[in-house]
Amino acid sequence: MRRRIVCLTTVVRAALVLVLGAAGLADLAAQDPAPQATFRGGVNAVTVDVSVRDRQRRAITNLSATDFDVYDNGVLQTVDTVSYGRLPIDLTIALDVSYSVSGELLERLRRGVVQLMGDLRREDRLKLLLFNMRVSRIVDFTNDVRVVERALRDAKAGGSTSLLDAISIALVSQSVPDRRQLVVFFTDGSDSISTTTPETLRSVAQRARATLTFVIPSLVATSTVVPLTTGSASVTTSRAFQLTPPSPLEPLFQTLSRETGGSLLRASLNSDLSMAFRRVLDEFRSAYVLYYNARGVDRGGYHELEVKVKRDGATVLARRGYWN
Amino acid sequence: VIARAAAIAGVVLASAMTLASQDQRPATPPPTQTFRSSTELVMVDVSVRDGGRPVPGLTAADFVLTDNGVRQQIESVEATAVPIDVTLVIDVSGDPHRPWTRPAPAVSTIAAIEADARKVTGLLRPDDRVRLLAIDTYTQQIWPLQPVAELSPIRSVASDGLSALYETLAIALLQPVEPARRHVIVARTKGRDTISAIGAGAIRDMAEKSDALLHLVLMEQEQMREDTLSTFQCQLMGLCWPTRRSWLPLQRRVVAGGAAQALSLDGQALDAAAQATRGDLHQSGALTVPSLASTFTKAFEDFRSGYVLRYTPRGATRQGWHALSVTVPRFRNYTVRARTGYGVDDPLPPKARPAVAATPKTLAELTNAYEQRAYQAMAAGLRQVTDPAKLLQEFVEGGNPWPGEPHREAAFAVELAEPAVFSPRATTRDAGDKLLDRYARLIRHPIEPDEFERAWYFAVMTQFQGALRPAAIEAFADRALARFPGEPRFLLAKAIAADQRTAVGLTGSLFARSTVVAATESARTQYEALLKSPEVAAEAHLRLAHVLLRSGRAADAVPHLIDASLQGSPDPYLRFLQRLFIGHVLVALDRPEQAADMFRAALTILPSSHSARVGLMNTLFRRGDREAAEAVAERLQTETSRDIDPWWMYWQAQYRLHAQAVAQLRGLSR
Repeated sequence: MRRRIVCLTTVVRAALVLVLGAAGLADLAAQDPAPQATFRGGVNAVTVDVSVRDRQRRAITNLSATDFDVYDNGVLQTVDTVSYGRLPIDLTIALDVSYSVSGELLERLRRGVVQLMGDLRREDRLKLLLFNMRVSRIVDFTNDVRVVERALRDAKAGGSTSLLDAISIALVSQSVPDRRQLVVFFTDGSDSISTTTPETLRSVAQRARATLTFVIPSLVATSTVVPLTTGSASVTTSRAFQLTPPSPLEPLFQTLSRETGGSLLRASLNSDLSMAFRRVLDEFRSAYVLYYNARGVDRGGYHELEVKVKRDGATVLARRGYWN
Repeated sequence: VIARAAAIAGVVLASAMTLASQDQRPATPPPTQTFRSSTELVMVDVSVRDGGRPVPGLTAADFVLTDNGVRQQIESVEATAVPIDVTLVIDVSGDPHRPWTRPAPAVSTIAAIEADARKVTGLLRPDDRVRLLAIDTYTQQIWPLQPVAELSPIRSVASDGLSALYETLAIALLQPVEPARRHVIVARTKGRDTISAIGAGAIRDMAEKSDALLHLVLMEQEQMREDTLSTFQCQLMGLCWPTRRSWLPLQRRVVAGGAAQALSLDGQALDAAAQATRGDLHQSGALTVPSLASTFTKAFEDFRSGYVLRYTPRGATRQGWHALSVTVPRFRNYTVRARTGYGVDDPLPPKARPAVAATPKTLAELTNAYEQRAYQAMAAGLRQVTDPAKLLQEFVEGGNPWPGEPHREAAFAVELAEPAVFSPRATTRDAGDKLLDRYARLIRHPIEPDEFERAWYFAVMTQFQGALRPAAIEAFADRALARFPGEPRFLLAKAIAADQRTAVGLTGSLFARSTVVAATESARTQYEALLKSPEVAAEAHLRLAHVLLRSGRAADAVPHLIDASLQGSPDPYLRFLQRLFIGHVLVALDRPEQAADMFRAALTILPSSHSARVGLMNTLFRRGDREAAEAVAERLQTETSRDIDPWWMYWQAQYRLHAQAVAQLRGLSR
């Protein structure tokens, strides 16, 4: 085994020298910058978004710090403060505008997002990403509905889908401290061209600050696989709508949303998409933010989190962990 | 007759197209012979004999040559020591009434054919060349034109039973001849044609305008033997036609029959054809059949001992028929033989062309745009075609927009088929496939595969790769490989087709899991087999590496990614993917620092690359460099670029070369 590792190292080094040398970048291969660790919310301070609901999925709103038990890598922590619904929200909506999400569905998406703007508070902001094989931020954080409307009017569908790439980009994007981050992906769950693997994305999600939620429509256009580049070809033929089969990526979506404290929502056949967006926003807003200073655990590495509430029948939704 | 700088390949191919589509057998008119002379120099072969002996030592002053009655100034006279190209034609056709008596020629028969042909080549000089054609249902080229010293043994001769005598003679007559060489045709035939789309009259017309010297040898006796055997088998053995063929082909005989073995009307036309070229038609004697070698020996003596007169026509109208007369006035007892004339076709009047539409959509508009080389406008128009199948139907029903230019039509068909090939609608895709299938047959050169056919297949395969149509790629690759055995680009296309069955992306393949597993293995082995083909090795290494990476064998992919052939590749697409894939391999091997460097190296080739940026962003983020990762994420969301990321084209494979392939086709077809 050791011998194989040594051989492998030699081969990889040879590859680097060859390729980087050819590119005039051999000096880059010699550099070994130390990784820069970042800490969430200060030296040892940790913030955790926690949603607590009763059996009827109604938010339980009157909890205090003593009602929560937070375990950081299995060590019980002392929750210093709890806030409920106070922090402003930065909402990122990412819409799939690939070939498979177009036509009437795209129009309903436009309406849904515009109506969602009406549900935001004054201090909340919305950012809009469109993705197919590319990711485009067509609106940066704003609460101006006219800007959003205008941008959506020009949105056109087409191309293949880099869904996992887009999720990763959204999660890595810069976030402002003291604002809660919610990323909502609207997608049919198809991915034809991402370079990000599911393993990489899970790793990114564990390190991200944002909460990730998916809205999956149960009705999308079906077609043959439409390649990225179609030369002079036309793709204007009509298409049929049918129920979307569960995406093979759904287990990954569930994992990602669990890791980040989010959820997966399937929008029904004829429902108003704005209702789905509103529900996601309401659930996120009606959450507690717990603050504690991690004690009794190593600073570095992955910290597994477990949050419990001392109320019978309460369901707790929180991220599974964080990285230092 | 005419010294032609320009080749008449177009005319040859027009004829060839007719032959290639024999299964359809449309009633086509005889090909039009065209003289495309960039120079006006005319050469005339002349034989001068005193009794039976050739007369040497004559000069220009001894000859009087008139062109349409106008005496011409003879610029030079050469004894015919010029190198010659010999086309030998043998007849391996059978009796269509008795297909069971026509198995493939036996080894002994092939040996006899070769022995006869080699007797001819034994008479030739080292700088002479020879070609061997065989008459059958199709014209077969057994030896392409080549120096006599390089002839290879004849390994096989196919026999299908029918006889394309006239078409084979047309092909022989229409072969282009270099100005400094002479062309001699010696054709040995059983004197029967059962399948040609042209008649004997067309051969006469072509011969009158051909530079070649044509000698025909009729083997009536062999024909009679076959007829006798046929009668015997049918009347006494009960083995009567039909057995295999469901129709009786029209028989055209050169000899009318009877004891005198008189020539039929077709035979007379062929005799006139031979005479027009200064050659002859040789019939069997009572007990003997002239052989190729004996006929050639006779023609050869006559030819080698003759003269070539060169002159530039003056005082005669250029177009039309030119009657020739050659005499040697000082020696009136000499026998002078020369061809009786030559023809120059009228140039076609220039056509008024309509302006190119801004966005051509109808077939007429698209054809006009193509004709005027407005390719971008044509592509824009094709993008807006709403019913590609209807467009293709109109195209097929309308016939060739450029009669006499079949290659141009076939090249245009590839471009016209693209919207259908890419269509999400199965019936429309079928229409595109059928059109290309039709042209795959029509472009076949009847003698041997040529560069146009090779380029055409490549363009079609790159198109199907772009449409992610592995089944279609494989179907066309198999056909192309039958024509061009071992062609590395076509083998690579097959490997890519197998690889595409493992596509597409993370949400799984279009194909069943068992198919994907088998296809992955098939792609791997096919790529491995191509690693030693220099033409495609770089791409085979790269794609093999990706197969291994996808199969969880990152370490095994490394040697293929650092292979020297990739380093030197002029294709930036491949160089980019090499760096990108090494980056992913290093991620898989848990070497984030080096992986980040490799993604940066990829970005030096394509700075706006989405895939390399995402790879870099993920790597930076996972190793804890959040700030740098955020900066990359910001650029990914905000920078707009029209560049196509090579990774996005990965599964479409060599579609990246399609525009280039189509441009090459356009060039070859004009």
